[in-house]
Amino acid sequence: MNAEDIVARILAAIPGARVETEGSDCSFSVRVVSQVFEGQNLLQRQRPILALFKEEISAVTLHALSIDAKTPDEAAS
Amino acid sequence: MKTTDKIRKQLADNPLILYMKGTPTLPMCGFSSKAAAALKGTGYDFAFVDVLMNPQIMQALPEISDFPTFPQFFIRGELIGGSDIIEAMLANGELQPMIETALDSEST
Repeated sequence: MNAEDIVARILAAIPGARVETEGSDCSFSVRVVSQVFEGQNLLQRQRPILALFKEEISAVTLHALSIDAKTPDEAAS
Repeated sequence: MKTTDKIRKQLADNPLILYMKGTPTLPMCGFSSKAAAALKGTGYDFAFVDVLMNPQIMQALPEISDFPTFPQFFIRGELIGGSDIIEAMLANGELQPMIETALDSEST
């Protein structure tokens, strides 16, 4: 998988989010900043994002995807 | 026993359970290693299942938990998260009291 695909898929699901990726091939870490995370715990934030890549993860074309999901306020502090 | 029933029984029988790649003493993946280390850091005993040795569980659990990656840590049958969530909750002090509360309500 490439970084552009990952960013595009997250943006389609969370419009207006700020998305940054690090990594390559089968291992990525992603930082997502969006107001939608307000009031959600870490699991609630990660679950819908991981679900976008469910097939790649189970096929192991994506081995690891670390997600750092923050609200704009949290990202600023 | 069907795999899904087996998983549900494991979740019901073990207040703290970690599904991981490898074992706490011999983890086979960096993320599983971090998760096991963080849980050891709480000082509580936890059950574990090596999903590499149980490919059917490795395949079935993500459907049950609605979470695609391993490790996965559960308290009283409820998914808490993977390695980064466990580490974050250990660091911010949420994990220890959550486990204590779960074990207290277990014994009463």
